[in-house]
Amino acid sequence: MSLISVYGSFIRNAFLKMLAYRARYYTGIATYLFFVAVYYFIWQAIFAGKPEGYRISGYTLPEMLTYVSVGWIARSFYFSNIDDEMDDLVRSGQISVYLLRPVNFQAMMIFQAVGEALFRITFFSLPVGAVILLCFPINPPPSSADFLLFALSTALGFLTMASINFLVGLLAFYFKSVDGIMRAKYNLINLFSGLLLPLSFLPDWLRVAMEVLPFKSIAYVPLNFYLGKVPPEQIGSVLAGEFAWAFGLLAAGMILWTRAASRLTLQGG
Amino acid sequence: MALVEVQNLRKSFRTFKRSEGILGSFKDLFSRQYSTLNAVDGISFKVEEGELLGYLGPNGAGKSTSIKMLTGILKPTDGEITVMGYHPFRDRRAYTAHIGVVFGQRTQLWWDIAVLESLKLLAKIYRVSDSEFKSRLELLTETLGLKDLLHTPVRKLSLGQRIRCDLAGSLIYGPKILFLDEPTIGLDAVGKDAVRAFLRKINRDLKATIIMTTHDLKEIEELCQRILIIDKGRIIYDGSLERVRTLPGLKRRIYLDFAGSAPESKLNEIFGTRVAFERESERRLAGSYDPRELSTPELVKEVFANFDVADFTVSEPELEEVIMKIYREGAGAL
Ligand SMILES: Nc1ncnc2c1ncn2[C@@H]1O[C@H](COP(=O)(O)OP(=O)(O)OP(=O)(O)O)[C@@H](O)[C@H]1O
Ligand SMILES: [Mg+2]
Repeated sequence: MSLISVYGSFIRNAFLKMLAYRARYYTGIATYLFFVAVYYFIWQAIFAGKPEGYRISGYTLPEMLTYVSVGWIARSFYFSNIDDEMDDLVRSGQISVYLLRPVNFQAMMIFQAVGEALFRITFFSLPVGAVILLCFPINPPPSSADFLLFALSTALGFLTMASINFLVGLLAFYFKSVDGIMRAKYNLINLFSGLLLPLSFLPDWLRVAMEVLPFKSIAYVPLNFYLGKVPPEQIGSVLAGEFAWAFGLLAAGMILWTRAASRLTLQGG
Repeated sequence: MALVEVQNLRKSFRTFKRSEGILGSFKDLFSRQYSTLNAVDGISFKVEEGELLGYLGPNGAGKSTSIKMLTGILKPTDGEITVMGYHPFRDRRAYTAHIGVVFGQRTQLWWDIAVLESLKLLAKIYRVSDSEFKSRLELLTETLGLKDLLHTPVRKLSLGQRIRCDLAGSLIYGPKILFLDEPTIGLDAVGKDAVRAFLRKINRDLKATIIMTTHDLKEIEELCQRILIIDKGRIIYDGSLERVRTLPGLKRRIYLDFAGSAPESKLNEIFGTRVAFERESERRLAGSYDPRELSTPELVKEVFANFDVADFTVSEPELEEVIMKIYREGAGAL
């Protein structure tokens, strides 16, 4: 019980912190709308002249447009920058302060990310979603069960993303600069998560690799749940795969953290 | 068992030696040359419960590095630390629940949220009950004068205000031992005084053990009974503040006031090189002497036997002078 209240307070705190900077997010709303509009028109152009119900790699135009819009709205929730924060903490030596707390560092970072995500869902995803809904035709999920599966899968996607970011953040304990690595990760995840386009569009060899790797949990799987495109007999195994990767990566971070922490030289002071 | 026991503690940093020039940088790409710096080089000491220990040393001596190891956030290269039965680094999460730490240069409060929110969060993290929180907060608000600061975000506080809030943060969960690394750095006289008074109070009234580093000797003089001086990673002095003043080679000063004109040449004749006299005014002379060579009573006796003295005073060496000598000459001064 008190454990919940300890980590719950990190959520609360991160939320309060974001609230202090909420003005920053108003510009972000425009950026998101711009992205959605760009992809919207690209897909319309690709499907131009095709008969209704025409499919590319398994997606009709309305499905594709929904995929893109919901994908960007969901991204505003699952996005986290734990790696960037860890890099800053190490570089400034401010990580000392975090180490002085009798709490699990990884859990603290992830719960803070939860607080930020909850902030974004209320102050960002919902307004952005409302505007997108007004401007572009988005289909609702076929059933409320599909929506619940989408929500659960997005939550696992959040955890996967946070765990990956934590692992990338640990690299800052080893290397002088991880800017390049973080930028590469950013682009690779946008592609391999299926945010930019569904994984079924990828060449076969790459698609097979992505079926196995964890990145699809972040966007591709949740969005296919939303569209009701996961066959009922596969739902169990798909979710189990997401669970396994999310917690596997979390465990890897926990193990590597101990090693990385003993390398810290804590500059400054 | 002592509250803190440190045995042969060492920390070495590996630093990368850069070669000069473009050719040098190119060479560095292929073969890097490292050198090892022993920031803390085998120190041992003990601290008993309730002590207020001053940890001194020139810039770069290894004070902060020691504090980081004592607080469990930096892994020692070698040696043993036990604090309240914990191994700070190994048992970090359990251990840090019992200690309070303030780094003057960094805040431990959350930058963007109100001080009170930070304190509440700390209370949650350290599992402080509501009633305990209330009473401690009241006490800290009172003694540190935080009343008007509690609702301000940390980023909007001045340095002095921030440090007072940081002190509150480090005590809100009632730690048994407090590690302070330059807690009064950059504070004005009033701010320093407030912090000093506060530390004395919690050391006396709450029996908190305090280990603090500072470059302010007045602070040391007012607070600490015992000091530890570290230089180039080694402890060169561990003992009372009183004893450090009796270091060999430190001169004492005597001021002599005469009824008439001061008899400087005659005094020089009697004492020779044992006392170096300087004229301060027509009737006043100052002489410095090494008390081991010539004891104060002997000096006074001889002066009184030969002259008509109106008044005299003897002064101990200033702490600043003592410490400067030690910093300058290192272990050789002791
Ligand atoms: N992270 C690090 N990497 C390499 N060298 C370091 C590191 N931290 C400290 N040092 C070196 O170790 C030595 C001791 O540093 P430390 O910060 O402990 O000194 P200090 O006694 O606190 O000095 P000051 O009074 O200036 O704060 C210095 O020579 C410093 O350059
Ligand atoms: Mg220091």
